[in-house]
Amino acid sequence: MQVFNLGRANIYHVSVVTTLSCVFVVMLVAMGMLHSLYFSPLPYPDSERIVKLEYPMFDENGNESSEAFNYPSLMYLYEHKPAAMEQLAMVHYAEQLLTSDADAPQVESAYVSPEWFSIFDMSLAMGRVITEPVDESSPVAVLSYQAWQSHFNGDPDILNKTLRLDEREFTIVGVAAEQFYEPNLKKLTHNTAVWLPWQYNLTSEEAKPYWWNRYALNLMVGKLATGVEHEQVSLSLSNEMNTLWRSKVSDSEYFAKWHIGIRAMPLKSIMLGKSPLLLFGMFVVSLGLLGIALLNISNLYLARLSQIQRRLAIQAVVGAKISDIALMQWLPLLALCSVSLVVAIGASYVICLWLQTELVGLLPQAQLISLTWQSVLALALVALLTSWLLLLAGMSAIRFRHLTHMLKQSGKGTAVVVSARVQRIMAVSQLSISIILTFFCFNVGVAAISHLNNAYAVDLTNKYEVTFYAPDTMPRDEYQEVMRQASEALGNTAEVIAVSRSRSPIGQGVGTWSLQEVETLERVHPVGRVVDSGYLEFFSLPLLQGQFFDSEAVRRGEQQLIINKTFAEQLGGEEKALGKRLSFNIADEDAAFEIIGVVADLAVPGEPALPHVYRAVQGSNTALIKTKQPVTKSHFAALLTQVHPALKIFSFKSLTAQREQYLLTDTLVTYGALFIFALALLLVIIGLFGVFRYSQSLKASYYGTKMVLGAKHSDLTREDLTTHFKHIGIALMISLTGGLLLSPYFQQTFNVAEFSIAAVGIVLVSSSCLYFSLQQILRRPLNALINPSELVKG
Amino acid sequence: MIVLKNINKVFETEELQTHALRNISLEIAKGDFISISGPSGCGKSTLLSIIGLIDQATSGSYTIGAHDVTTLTLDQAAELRNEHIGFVFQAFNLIDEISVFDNVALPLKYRPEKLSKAEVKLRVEYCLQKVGLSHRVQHKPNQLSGGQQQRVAIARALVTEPSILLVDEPTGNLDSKSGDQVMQLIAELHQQGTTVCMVTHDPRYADMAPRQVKLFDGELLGTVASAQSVSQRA
Repeated sequence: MQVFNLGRANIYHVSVVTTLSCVFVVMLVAMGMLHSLYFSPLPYPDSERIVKLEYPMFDENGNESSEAFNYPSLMYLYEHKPAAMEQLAMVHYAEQLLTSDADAPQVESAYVSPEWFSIFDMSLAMGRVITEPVDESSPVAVLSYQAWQSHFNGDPDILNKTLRLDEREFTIVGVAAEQFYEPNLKKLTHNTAVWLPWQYNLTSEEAKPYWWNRYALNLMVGKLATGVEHEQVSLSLSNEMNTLWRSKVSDSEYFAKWHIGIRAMPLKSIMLGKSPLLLFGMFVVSLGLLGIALLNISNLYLARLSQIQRRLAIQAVVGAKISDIALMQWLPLLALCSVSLVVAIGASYVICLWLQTELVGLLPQAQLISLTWQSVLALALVALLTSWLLLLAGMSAIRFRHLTHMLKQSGKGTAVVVSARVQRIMAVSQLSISIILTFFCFNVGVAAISHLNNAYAVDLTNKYEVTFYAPDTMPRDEYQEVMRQASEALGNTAEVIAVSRSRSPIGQGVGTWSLQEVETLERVHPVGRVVDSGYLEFFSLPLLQGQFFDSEAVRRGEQQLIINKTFAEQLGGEEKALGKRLSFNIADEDAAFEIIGVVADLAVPGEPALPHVYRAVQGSNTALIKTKQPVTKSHFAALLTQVHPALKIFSFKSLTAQREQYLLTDTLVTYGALFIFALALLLVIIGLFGVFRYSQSLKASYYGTKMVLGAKHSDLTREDLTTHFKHIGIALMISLTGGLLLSPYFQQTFNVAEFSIAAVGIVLVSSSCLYFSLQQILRRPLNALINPSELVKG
Repeated sequence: MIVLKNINKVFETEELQTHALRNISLEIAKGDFISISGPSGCGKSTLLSIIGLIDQATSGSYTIGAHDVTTLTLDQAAELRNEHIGFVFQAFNLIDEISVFDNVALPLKYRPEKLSKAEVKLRVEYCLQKVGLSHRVQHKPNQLSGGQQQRVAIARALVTEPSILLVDEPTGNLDSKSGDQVMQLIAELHQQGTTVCMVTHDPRYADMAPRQVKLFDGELLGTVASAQSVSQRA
C-alpha cells in the first residue's frame, strides 16, 4: 500500500515539476531574451543616441517606393553634417573575392568613413583603425578577428602585410578584437571580414552623379547631438533634403509628384527589426502557459489534497490551526516550485548558450542572448507567487470545520471539497480551452506549413545560381562577351541540362516599376524582374495565356513583357491583358512594351501575391543552371579558365539551399510557434487528466458504494462518459463561439473542417484521459474504495 | 443457503503476512439473524466482506444457494451482490448529490432486467415506508440526521429484495438513541423474514441476534444462541 501511495505521490510530484519546469523554461528564456536584447543597452557608447539615417522615396500616390540613398544625396548629407548630428558615418557593404588567397574565397567587406569606428567604438586586437579623412585615405584595411583567424591563420605579424580584394590591394593596419559585435545594419547574416576606406567603395563612377538612383548597399549612421530627438532630426532633414532632391530631379516628368524623406531610426529598432514583437509575443505566450499550468496544477493539487485529507484531519484533531495547516501545505509547494525553478535555470542557461549560436542570422544580436540575473530574480518571484496561488486554491477547498469530524465518519472524505458546480465549470473550461487551443494550433500550423511549402514552390532540384567574376578593368564589350561565353560553356557541359542568364528569384528585394498603360494612361506599379528569354521555362512556370519569350526576338531587342496572374487580373483578366502595351515613358511611342504572355504566380513567403512583370534581356554576369545530378563549384572552375584566364566563379549557390536559407526565419518561427502550442496542449492534457482525477478521487467512495450495490465497471464507465459528453456538448458550444470570435485575431478564416478535427481530437483524448484515470481508480480493492482510509480493517 | 467452509484470508505485504481469518466455517440459513462480534482487529469486517463478495478468501469454499462463489470475476460478483445481497454500512455510504429516492432506487439501476419507472417508484416508496421515511423522499442525504441516513441506507439495501442483509457496525456513527432505533428496525425486518448478518463490536446489539458468532484473532470461537429475545429487549 505504501508503494501504491508512493507511486501516486511520485506521479503528482513529477507532473507538477515537469509542468512548472516546462513553463518556467519558456518564461525564463523569454524574459532573458527580452531583457538582454530589448531592455539592456547595446554594447556601444551612448547607444541610445546612435541612429541609422534612411532615405525613403515616395511615389505620386504617397506610397513608399524604395528605401535607399542615391549617391549624391548621401555625400551631400555627409559633407553638410547638420548641427543636430554629433557624428555621421557612411558605409558601403560588398561581397568580394579575396584574390590574395589561393582559393579566392568570397568575403564580405565594408567601406567606411573614419567616424564609423568611433561611433561603434571598435576595440582592437592589434594595430589601428582607419582614421584618415574620406578623400585622403590610403588603401588600408582592418580585419575582423574571425577573418584574421580563418584566412590568415591568426598570423601575429599580420600588420603591414597586403591583401587583395578583386583587383585592388590594401595594407592591413589593424585587427578587430574578438569580442567586438558588429551592428547588423544591412542583413542579419552579414559578417564583415574586412573594413576599408570609404573612398574605395564599389559604387561605379558612372552611377555616382544620378540623384534618382537607389543604392541599397550605401548606408549612413550617425550619433545625435546630446538632447536631440530622432523625430526632430527626421523632420528637419526631410524638408531640407527633399527640397534639394526636388531641385535636382525637376527636369524629370517621371518624378514630378514624387518626394523623399529622411528617417532617423534608433539603432536598437533597426538592429532588433521586428524581433521585439516576437520577444514580447513569446513573453505573453509564456504568461498564457503559466495560466494554463496554474489551472492544471491546481487540479492536480486538489486531487492530491483529497488523497491526503485524512492526514490533514489528524493534524487538525491534534491541534493544528488553519495557519499551521497552511504552512505545512505551503512548504512542499514551495519546494516543488523551487525544484522547478532550479531545473528551469539550468535548462534555460543551456538553451541560451545554444540560441546564441543557432539564432545568428535569424534573430538580430542573437550573440547577446543571455540569462540575466534580473530575469532569474523575476522568475523566482513568479515561482513564489505560483506557490502562493496554489496554496490559496488548496486552502479555499479545505472545509476546516469538517476536518475534525472526518475521522469519526470513518474517513468517508468530504473535508476537501470543491462543489459539484465548480467541478463542472473546471471540466467544461478545461475542455473548451483544449478545443480552442487545438483548433488554433491546427489552424495556424496548417496555414504556416502550407505557407512554407508554397513559397517558391517550383522544382529547385539540381538548380544552381552561378555568378561570374571578371576584372573591372576589362572593356565593357569584352566583359559582356566573356559572360556570354561563360554561360555557353556551362551549357555545353555534359552535366548541365539548361541555362538561363538570370538571377535567382529567391531572396531578391522587391523593386517596383512605375509603368503607364498606353491606351488608358493608367499608372501601374508591378514588381519588375529583368530575366533572360529562357527564365520562365527554366522554372517551368505554367503559361496561362499567350507565349513565352523568344530568344531571337529578345536578341532583336523587341519590347515584350510577360506578366503574372495577379497582374493580369489587375489589368482586367488574363485574356484582356494580352496585347496591352505598357511604357516607362508615354511620350516615346517606341518605348512601349507589349504583353505577350501570362504565367502563374511564384509565391513568396510573408508577402501577398504581388503583380509581377518580366522583361527579357540578353543576360548578365549571373547564370542559373540545371544539372543532371548534384554538382559543386569545382566542377566548373577549370572550364571557365579556358574561356578567359581571368574568369572566376564569384559565387555558386544551390537554389534549394538558398530557399532553405531564405525560409529559415519563417521555418524557425513556424516550428517555434508549433512547439509552444504543443507544449500548451501537453499542459492542457495534463490539466484534463488532473480535473478527471480530482473529481474521480472525490467520488471514489461513491464508485465503491455503487459497485457494492451491483454496478459493474462498465456501468460506472458509461455513467462517467455520459456526464463527460454532456460537458463536451457545452464545451463545444463555448469553443465554437470562441473560435469564431478569435479567428480574425489570428488572421485566419474559421475553418469548419479543422475545427471538427480539433474537436474530435479533444473528445478522443479527453475521453481516453477520463477512461484510463477511472480504470486506475476502479482497479483499487473494493474495500479501499468504500472506505479509503481503512484498507485493512479488523 | 450460505455456506462457508474452511475460509482463510491472508493479507500479504513484502515484509509480513497477516492471517485475518483462519479456517472459518459457517452456515447461514434463510431467515437467520446472525451477529458477528469480537474485539477490534479480530476479522469481523473481513469476514463480512468475504460474505458480501467485496473481498475474496485466500482459501476455502463459499456457496450462495446453488452458486459456488469462491472465485468470481468482478462483474459476476457485482451481479450476485445486486441479486442476493443488501449492504448497510457503518458510514451509511449514501450519495450526497442525489435525493433519498434516487439513493434508494440506485441498486435497481444496475439490475440486468430493467424495471419500469412505475415499478421502481412502487418499490422505493414501499421500502421508504418500511423504514419510516416516506416524507423525506426528495431530501438530500446531508439534510437528514445520522439515524435517518442509516434508515435510508437500510431501505436501499432492501429495495432489491435480497436474500441476505449484511450489516456492518450499523450504529457505529450514531448516538445511542438513534442506534437503538436502527437496531429496532433491523430486528423488525428479521421478524418479517429478512435474513440478517450483522457485524458489531457492541455486545448489547450482538445479543439481539438469535445466533451469535464470536471471532478472536481471525478464528471462530463458537456460535451461541442468544438467551435474550429481540422483542424482550425492545
